Amino acid sequence: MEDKEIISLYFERNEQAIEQTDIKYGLLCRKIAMNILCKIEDAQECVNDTYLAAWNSMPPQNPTSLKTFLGRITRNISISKFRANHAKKRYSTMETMLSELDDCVPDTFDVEKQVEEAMLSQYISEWLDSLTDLDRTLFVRRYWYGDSNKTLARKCGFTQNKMASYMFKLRVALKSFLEKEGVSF
Amino acid sequence: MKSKKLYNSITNIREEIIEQADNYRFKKHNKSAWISSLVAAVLVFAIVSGIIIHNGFFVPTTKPIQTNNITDTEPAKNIKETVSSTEEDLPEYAIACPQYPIMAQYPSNGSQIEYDVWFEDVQKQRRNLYFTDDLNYFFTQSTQEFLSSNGNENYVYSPLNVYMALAMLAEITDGNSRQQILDLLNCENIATLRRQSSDLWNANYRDDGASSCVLASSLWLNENINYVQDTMDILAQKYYASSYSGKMGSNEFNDALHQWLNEQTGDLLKEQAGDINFDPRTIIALATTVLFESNWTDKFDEEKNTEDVFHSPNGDVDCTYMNQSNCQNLYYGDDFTSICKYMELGSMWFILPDENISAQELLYNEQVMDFILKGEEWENQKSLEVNETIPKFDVVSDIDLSQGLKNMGITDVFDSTISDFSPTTTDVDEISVTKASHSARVVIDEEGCVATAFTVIFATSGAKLAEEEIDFILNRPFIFVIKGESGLPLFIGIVNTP
Repeated sequence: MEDKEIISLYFERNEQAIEQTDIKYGLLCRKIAMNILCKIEDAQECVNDTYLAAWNSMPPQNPTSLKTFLGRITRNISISKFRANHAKKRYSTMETMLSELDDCVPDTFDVEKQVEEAMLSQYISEWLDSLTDLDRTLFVRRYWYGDSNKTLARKCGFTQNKMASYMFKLRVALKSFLEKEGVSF
Repeated sequence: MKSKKLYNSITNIREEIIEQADNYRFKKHNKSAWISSLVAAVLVFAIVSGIIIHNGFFVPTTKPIQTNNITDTEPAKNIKETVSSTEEDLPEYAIACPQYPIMAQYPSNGSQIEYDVWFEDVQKQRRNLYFTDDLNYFFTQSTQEFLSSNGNENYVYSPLNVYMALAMLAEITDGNSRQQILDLLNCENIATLRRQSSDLWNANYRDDGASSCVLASSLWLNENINYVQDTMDILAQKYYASSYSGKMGSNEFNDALHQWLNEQTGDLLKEQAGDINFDPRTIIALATTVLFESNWTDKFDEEKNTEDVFHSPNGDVDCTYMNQSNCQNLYYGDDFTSICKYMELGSMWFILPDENISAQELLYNEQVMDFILKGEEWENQKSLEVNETIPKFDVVSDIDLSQGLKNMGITDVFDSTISDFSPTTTDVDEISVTKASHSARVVIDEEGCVATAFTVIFATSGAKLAEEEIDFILNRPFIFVIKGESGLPLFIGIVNTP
């Protein structure tokens, strides 16, 4: 079913909307949630919460991309669950991803105080625009979809070592870009 | 935390960038070569552990007793429709069978849809192993106990394999016999142990045609005793264990045991399995196995192999070395350096003691045990160009677990006057463990690693890192660790002679 048709079902308050969403985007949402939480039960709970949130927000919202819309909700719910349940080593995959992202934040930069997250999103989008298709895809798949380095290495035919090194260079490049754009003072 | 703010900002990057990344078609390099290599060679790691339990006389009947004496049983796991049964194995003896998950095969044609199906099955096996810290106590204690010999042989030990054997032994015992095992496994009660064993089994399970890691378990019962069916069912549901009943000491039942062991260890421990035989007085025997097969993600080139000397404690021996240079992390501590070789499933760690330290001594170094458990999270690491020189090896070892288990506080099950096997049978008094052995074999070559092990338990009646490039040459005794998908050590060994 086309996205527009599914969104129409939400606007009509037709419960088929949830079923069709699950058929078309259930796997994507579960993958995103699993990549963050590493636990099938928690991931499924997040996906269910995503559907509820989608049901409650459409209408009035009318997303241009249902996939991105649902993915963002899943990310937000999953990170909230991660933070709520966080205990040492419980979600090591997420810890690793967040730890890697620390590489991108300039030391002197306090994101919370000085720049709104929206502005930072804009900077990151600009930086991603400047990359090659492969680099941009790898960054987004790692840090938006949450794919592991191992998965990405398989997709590209790289070794895991090479992929880890590749991602490190991308993070350093982002850090450098943010500093250059005045995020570092 | 700054990274979390960044995470939120990445969530809101422009939609078309997110869409593009999802639609991007990766160019696959050498995929077909990788798939074909799986057939050519694998890393196999095999372990068998077993416990044999005896008493001095027989009782007459053969039927199960249905009892409700196990009160803390959790509801049976809701195994989905997508499971396979192992019921076809030894049907003439089977009294309870587990059902293994069916896993989609890793796609050989690069199909994204098939990949997604495979990936979802892999995700289903993941478990939240929040109890890892509790396991570390057993892993450390038992590794030091079983690999502490001062001999010059090779040693291979699978902590996870022995853990599963002991967990099953706890399940078929009660009272202080059970409590001593729970204490060693650092587990609060039997319900927790069941949950943890099930999670460990699932977190390590992989059988996708490309790699495999299967922990198998079985219980063998004397046909002349009444047994508690509830216990057999729990063993099947929580420990994925089969239960068989037959005539102890008969050639047929011994053959069935050998067949089961050989199947579960890929015929890699045939000689050792052939030596395991039931005595007519055997009441119960436990056997657990692990079979691990995977390829290196970055295979060695056979043309770069070199012949050189390995400095074994028994004297220098000629050896074939595999060579490779990689930019990778070198891990180091006070008395050792280490590298990690990734495999399609899990990883293998090589730990080289400093020249004045033996591999056995190193295992008593708390820092090393900590490193083995932490792996990539180890704080002392540096990215370098590493010139690896790793010997091809095929090592086998047999360990008698009995004294080591006693040293670690498991004593009651060895004493027929105080042991308690009531969850299994109440027909026979004075049952005790008379044999507990562990055999394991690890083979590595240019393509990968194959490893297997078994445990059988019988009971009867009665760092210098300034340079940016480093040569990592394993030409003297070293330690290796193989970790599965869960990140926990499946095998730990010492190679004294490749």
